[in-house]
Amino acid sequence: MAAYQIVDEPSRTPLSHLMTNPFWAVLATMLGGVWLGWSWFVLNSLAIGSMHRKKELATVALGLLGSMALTLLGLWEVRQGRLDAKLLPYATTLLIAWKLAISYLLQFWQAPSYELAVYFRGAARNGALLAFAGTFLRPQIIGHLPDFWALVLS
Amino acid sequence: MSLGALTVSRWFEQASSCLRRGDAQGAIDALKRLLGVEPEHGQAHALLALALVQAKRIHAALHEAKLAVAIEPEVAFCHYALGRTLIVHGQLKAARAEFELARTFDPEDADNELGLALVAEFAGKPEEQLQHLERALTLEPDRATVLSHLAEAWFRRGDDERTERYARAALEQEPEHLEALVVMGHLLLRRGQTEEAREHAFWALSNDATSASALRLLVAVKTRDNPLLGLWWRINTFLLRGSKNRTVVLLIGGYVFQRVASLYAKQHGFRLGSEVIDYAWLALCVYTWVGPSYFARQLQRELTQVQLNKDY
Repeated sequence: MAAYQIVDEPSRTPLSHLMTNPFWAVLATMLGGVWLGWSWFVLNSLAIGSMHRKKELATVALGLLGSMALTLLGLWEVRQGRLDAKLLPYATTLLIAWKLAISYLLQFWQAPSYELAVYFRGAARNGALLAFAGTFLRPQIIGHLPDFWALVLS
Repeated sequence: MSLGALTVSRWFEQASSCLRRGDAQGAIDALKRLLGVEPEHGQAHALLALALVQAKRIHAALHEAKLAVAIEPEVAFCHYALGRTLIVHGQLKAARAEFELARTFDPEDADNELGLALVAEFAGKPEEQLQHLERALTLEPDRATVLSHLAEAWFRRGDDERTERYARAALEQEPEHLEALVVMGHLLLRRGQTEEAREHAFWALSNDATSASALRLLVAVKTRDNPLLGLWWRINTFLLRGSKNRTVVLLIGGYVFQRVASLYAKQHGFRLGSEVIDYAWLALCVYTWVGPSYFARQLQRELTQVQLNKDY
């Protein structure tokens, strides 16, 4: 008998075995940086077969573009002498807030599809180890990048 | 009647019964089987929409409800289901139109009045809400669901006497009526009778262990007992109330506020103040990290005392 499929039910993909709770991707963003967190969100979106896949991928792209724009603006302001050592920490707070907002949005969109996927496919992988490993990976990866990319991807 | 039609009607009955008991997943499973055989069954799509609303899968619910109306545009139940789904999407005007349409197809069904009362409540029109509830009562004066809705409406207005009268009337009609038990529990809690309120929560949960309203009552009792749990519950409901965008704005706003306050304090020589802000933020982070598991453990301890009804 052909089973009826409800529109929000996640489709099985070749990456299904890699799905994790999106909460770990948020934590990875905080501990390791967006290079780890956001690429994890992209992988998770494909692994879950999320109903909001296109929206999630577009949000990651928007997040990166926003980070690049904010970094460029910050660096330009520094060169113009308008952003001194006193104001710099406030400016970086804005960049961090942008990255966190994008990560929370991605988590909120991915969580319902993840819960459905767990219901249909059973337990997911535990992402805790990789999320905490982000703390140690961060200097290894970010330390080797030029300043601009280090700010965008940290 | 053919064997296929019999199977379809059996699944539909099974789904309706699951939904009445609060078993949304059971209803969804039965309806998926039904729709696998008969995909053009409009009322099954409508019932599936209601089950999906209960399971908080609101995007899929709207899709199913619209399908139901497209397949059977002259069936009141399909418009009713679309109305209920539109309410959870916050589209109150469209929901009202659907309930009114449902009422024109079936003027004797009190559910449509209950739907209109719900729209009026969310639209902040308490008088209109009461009018619809009174009309529902005229249509079905002995129905426990109508009586319990009235009890709830009077409870929100702070009228304990009327709340008790309607809740008791509902429980006379159906002694195990879940919503009536819950509203009675909240009334007892407001009167400071915490133990009796807890008993009502257990009683409601014994009939439906997954009922959100019964669990909410139990949580309300627990938060009265335990201030730490109460704080967590209040933070959580404040953060998660409304849209996801609002939650993100609140979270990020909180972070930015804490960072700016800490930086400002440090740059103006208030090093201690800056440290206090940083540690307070860290404590909040740890608390919100530990909170859910602490909360779940406390609730689980309570739930182990629930004796499930043998019919559940």
